[in-house]
Amino acid sequence: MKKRILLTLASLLVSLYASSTQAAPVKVVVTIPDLADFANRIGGDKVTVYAMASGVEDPHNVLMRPSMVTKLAQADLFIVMGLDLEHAYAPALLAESRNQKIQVGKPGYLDCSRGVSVREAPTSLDRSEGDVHPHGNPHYNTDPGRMRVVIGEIAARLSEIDPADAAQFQANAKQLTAKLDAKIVEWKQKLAGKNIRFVSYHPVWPYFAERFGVQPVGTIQPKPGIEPGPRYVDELIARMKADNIRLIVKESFYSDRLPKQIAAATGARLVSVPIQVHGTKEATDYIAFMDAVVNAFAGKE
Amino acid sequence: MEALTKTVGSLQQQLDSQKQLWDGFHAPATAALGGATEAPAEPNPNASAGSLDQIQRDVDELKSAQRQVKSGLFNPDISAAVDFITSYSRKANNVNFTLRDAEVMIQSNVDQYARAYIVFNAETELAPTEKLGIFDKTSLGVEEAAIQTTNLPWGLQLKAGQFFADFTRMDKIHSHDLPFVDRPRSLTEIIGGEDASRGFELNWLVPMDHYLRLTGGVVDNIGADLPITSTLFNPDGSVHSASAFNDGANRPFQSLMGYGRAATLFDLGSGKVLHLGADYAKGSQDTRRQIASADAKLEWQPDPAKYDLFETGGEVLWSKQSGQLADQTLWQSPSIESLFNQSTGNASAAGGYVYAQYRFGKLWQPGVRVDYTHSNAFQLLDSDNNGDADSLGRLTNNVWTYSSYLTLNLSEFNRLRLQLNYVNGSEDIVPGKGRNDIQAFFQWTVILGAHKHDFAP
Repeated sequence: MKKRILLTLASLLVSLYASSTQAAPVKVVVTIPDLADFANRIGGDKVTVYAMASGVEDPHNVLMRPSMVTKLAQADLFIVMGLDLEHAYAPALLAESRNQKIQVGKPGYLDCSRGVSVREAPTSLDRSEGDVHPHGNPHYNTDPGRMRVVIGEIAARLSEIDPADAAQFQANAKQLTAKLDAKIVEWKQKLAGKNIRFVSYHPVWPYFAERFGVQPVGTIQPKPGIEPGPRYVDELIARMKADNIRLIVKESFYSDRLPKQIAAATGARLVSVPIQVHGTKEATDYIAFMDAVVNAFAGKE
Repeated sequence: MEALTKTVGSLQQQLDSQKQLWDGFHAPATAALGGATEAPAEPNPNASAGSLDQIQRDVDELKSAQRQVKSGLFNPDISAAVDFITSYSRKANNVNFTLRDAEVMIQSNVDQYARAYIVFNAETELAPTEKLGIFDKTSLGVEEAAIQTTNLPWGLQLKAGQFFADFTRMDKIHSHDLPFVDRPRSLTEIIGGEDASRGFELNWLVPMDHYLRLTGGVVDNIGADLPITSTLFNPDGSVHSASAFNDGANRPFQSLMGYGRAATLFDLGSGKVLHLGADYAKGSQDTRRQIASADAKLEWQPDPAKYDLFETGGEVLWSKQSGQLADQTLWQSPSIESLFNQSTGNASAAGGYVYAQYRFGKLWQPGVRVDYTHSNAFQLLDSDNNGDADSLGRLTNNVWTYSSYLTLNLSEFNRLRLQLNYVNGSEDIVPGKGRNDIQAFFQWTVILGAHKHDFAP
């Protein structure tokens, strides 16, 4: 009997020791689902990933939820897009989390915009210009080229936090980058030679336009975040007719009302487009999201 | 022309090479991946080794120049708010143009251990029934000035100074940030306006999966103004200038007010978040004051892809105050005891409010609110009608306030609001003019500068 108890205790101790020596997954919290997709693919089973935004909402307008604070409080790594994309919720939640590991400037805080070249950085700042982002346009996730850099940043930071699994992170990142490179070629081919000029609801697309050669010619919002008045809408319609603009791109979370009205008045094709992963049903991961965007711009073959 | 074309061509080449280098410098983490730049990079055949070295030196110089920190970059964040109110009371036949808040907030990290903030405010808190003199000017004061730790272990945070205590849901919110124009009467009367306090506050984010925040504090008082329980009413129902209770000549430790708040939140799924909170405060010695409250708020985002947001919430509050009655209250009398045969007494109040509002898109947000306030306060009586108070009695009042309001958010920083109150009491709302009143408000609020959203359950 004694022997059996001793044996049971010993096996219990061995199993406890074994479980304690297994590295716990790196707890990663990200702001938008695009980053969650990358973190999951790079980290595999060595990470657990929590995304604050669901993807269907305006990324500037995410409802602060209590689970976000508790997840941040326990996180090893907090990844943001930066450029003030998340200014409405991330700084307050980060402060409330009191987690010193992931505060700005600490190794557990990764601002992915650090590594990308930024467009539309304002030369002067004035609130009369609407919801201006002081560091530049934050929607660089619409450019898979810039997101290659983000993949590298995430892999490098995960490797710092969990050096034992660095090789796996690097290998996964390389694989993901190679897949993205192949898709970039495909997406470029799909949009090549189409001479697409378009009006979008919000200025989301400068990075996408730069990568794929499409041309944004205006926005339904007269200034970022500012809803248009009737006179502006009339002027926009007149301008679209005069310049023969045949495409209106409505970011999926904006109302249909005005874009439909403008489309009816101009005869332009109206498409509703996700601006991040899970923005629409088909945008199940980053590649699928970009597929949806490119297909919407390209139109039916 | 040819020379110019050549020069432009050469400059273009240098620019291209520099851009490649710049991208490389901006993406140091990608080196491990064999150079994952923004695009599958193609080497620039025009960039010779010599010119690259020169450009490398230029870029190094540029980078070191960028590293020179200007002293101004350490300046604290500054923001300001202007809250202008037009109010009208029908029974008082009174219109006020009030600059309720002209507030400047300065905040910054102090070092790796603490941050601090100062709020200067030129404030005029006025009920629509009270007249603002045409020569009355708003004067600037320090509303808050506090130091807060940033680096305590175990999820602890300590605050010291003059601040709005983390007590109740709505009373720690600055007036211009309220979801309605006026602070609910129950909060104003039971707590005494905003949660203004001086002292220490410690709060703890309990390290567990469920959100639970516990706060405890020691302060000299909670409330910016006299609460109804300290108020002494004149025989005609107007408010006497002095407090009903003796404040004491000194403040021993026992007289400090201790308070606590527990706040928790539940993710109910489908865009619903439930906030719950409970508070208790107690001060003793000369004036024993107790306040207890419980609150709830439900936020519901019916469709995360839209800006619509439903919000409902409310608080219930109770307060009791007892102690030595102020003997200097009665200007000509030696003491209340000799005049009224009473040296101690107590007053109580209870009440609460509920509200519901719905944000349609980004712009419009209508809402309704109901407030109930019961008070049992001290009143001087003049039973022989000779113009002098001759006894101490009670003024019991039950006031219902029904409000509807409409907010127009022109932008995140510019907001207009209309509100209509119907007030119905068991005693006169405006002394001598009846037990009900209709009050109207127009509010225009703007925010300037760095605006930060707090997560304050």
